[in-house]
Amino acid sequence: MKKKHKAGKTVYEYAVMLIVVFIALLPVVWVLVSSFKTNKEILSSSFSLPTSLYLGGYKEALSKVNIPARFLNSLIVTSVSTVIGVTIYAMAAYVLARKNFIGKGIIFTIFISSMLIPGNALLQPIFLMMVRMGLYDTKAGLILVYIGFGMPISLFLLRSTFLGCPKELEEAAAIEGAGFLRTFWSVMLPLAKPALSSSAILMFLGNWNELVFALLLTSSEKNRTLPLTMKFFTTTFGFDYSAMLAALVLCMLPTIIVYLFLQRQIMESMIAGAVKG
Amino acid sequence: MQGSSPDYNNKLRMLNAADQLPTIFDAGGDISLYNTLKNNGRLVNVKPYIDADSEWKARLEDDCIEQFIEDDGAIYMVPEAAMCPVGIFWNKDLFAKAGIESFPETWDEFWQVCDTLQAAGITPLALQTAGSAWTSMIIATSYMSSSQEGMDFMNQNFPETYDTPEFREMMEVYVKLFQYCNPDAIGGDYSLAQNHFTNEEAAMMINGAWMMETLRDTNYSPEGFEQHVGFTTLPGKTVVYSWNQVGRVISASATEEEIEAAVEYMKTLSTQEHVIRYFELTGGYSSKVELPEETYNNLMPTMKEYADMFKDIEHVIPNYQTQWNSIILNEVFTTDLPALVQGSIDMDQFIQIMDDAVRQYEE
Repeated sequence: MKKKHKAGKTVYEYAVMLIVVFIALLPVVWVLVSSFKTNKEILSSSFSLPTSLYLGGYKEALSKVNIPARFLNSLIVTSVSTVIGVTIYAMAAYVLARKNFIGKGIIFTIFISSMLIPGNALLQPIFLMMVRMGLYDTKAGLILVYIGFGMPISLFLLRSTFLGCPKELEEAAAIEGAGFLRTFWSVMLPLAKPALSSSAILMFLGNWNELVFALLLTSSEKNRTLPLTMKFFTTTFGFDYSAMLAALVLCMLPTIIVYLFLQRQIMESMIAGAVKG
Repeated sequence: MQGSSPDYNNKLRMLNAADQLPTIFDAGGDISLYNTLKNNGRLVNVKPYIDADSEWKARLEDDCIEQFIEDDGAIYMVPEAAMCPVGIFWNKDLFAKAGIESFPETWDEFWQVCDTLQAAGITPLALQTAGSAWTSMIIATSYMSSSQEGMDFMNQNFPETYDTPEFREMMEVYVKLFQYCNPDAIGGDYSLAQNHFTNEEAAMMINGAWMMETLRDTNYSPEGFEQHVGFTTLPGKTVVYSWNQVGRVISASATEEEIEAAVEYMKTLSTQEHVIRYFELTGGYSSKVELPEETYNNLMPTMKEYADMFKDIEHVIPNYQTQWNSIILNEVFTTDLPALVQGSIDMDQFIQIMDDAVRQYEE
């Protein structure tokens, strides 16, 4: 009876997992299959298999947009903003978690409450600031904005982690003669590795996919990022879904490959990040 | 340049706020933005440059120059040397299958043709409601413009009220159109409508010559499709076009040197060589440039019909997208046109929504 119940539970679990996998994979598989179809086939029979392996979409996508250059731009902007962001926020979070000073609570609340400001409300002021600072249409401008976007969630995760670390470790480090910086760098930071990874992954993914500010703050091809590529293939009175889906595959492919290699680390850090608070 | 996107217009607004407008840009896609720029002295008056160069002026379309002259005598949108009017593509094979030999010349004949096609099991029209309802609203506004009152209404820039007998009648015709179209037209977008036409699932579609290339591209159409597609005027020898739907302007923030360069660039767009190339690519037609015989002979059949059409045009009616405000085009048409067609709201409610959008826009 117990065995039967266990088998039933396993079947149920697998069924749920299959449904979730199906929901998650369907859009990706659909994009991949449709990228080998003509516009005619995509619009007339969206879910059918291609009648032939149409490569025109890929040719068109690669001829219209320099996808490798945009990939490199995305990689630079996203990586630099993530590394700088996580480093700064780790230092800030440690101070906010461990040091006592006047206005600490208010400062933390102000930092965190920036999460509540809608992105659209920030468009005009950020655009004006970037122009005035001479950072319009530069990678540095985009990096600066992306570092700012990562602040609330990173600070929240890292501060919570530092608050959860035993104070005894810092006291032991002090007895051993470690100063403030040494304690932070050699004792506390290694303890916060899961939260650092979570912050880095959340920042990286958010910035990698960001479209609105990339569109607004860049104008030349040398600074355009990957998400903007999709904008090339549909206009008010024109469309080329084959090329758009082919470009989408080319944009997704590197991230999927990276995920396949690093899936364990990514999942572990996401879980670690989820339980902090 | 046809119908610039909301992203483009939003960016222009941001650039304007930061005093970073590019030297030349298209303000035709957002008339309210154009008016703001014009009223705040952000645009160069190009009239002195046009008056100073009689050769350039002679190449520009006179109608366009006349329409672009503002009340104060200035010209801010650089007048065009060619137009890309909207007419109707029709599938001759499907017409022949229904026993129809030619395209209808009057609106009464047009409705008869729709009935005949439908009776023969052929969908008469490829329509859409999404994206400002282009393929359907052009037919309805053309119908309205066949009467003088309707034409007067269409000539109003941003009407103060839509509660007029002409507009009501037009909207009744608009609803009627959906008896004759593809089932996914309500809520459907432009690509769906075009796909129905280019795959011979609908017999007629409203559009401009920029769609020509897709007729012979097997990525969009069956092999040889372009051989049996015709292009003609809407009933009443009417085409749809507003000169300001492409409204190139020059920023007043540019330096004198940049402005001079921008004017020189605009002059090159009106040269015979450019105008002919413009015609070949997207159908830009100039009444002042005769198409060389060799160019004409190399055109595909539908494009030849398009070129021939210009001698038959009797009426050019304004594109509703340049006459009605952006709230109507982007919001009311997206949600309330489908509701009207499906019967979720009645005509009185729809007209009230249109008038509310006028008030909202004014505020």
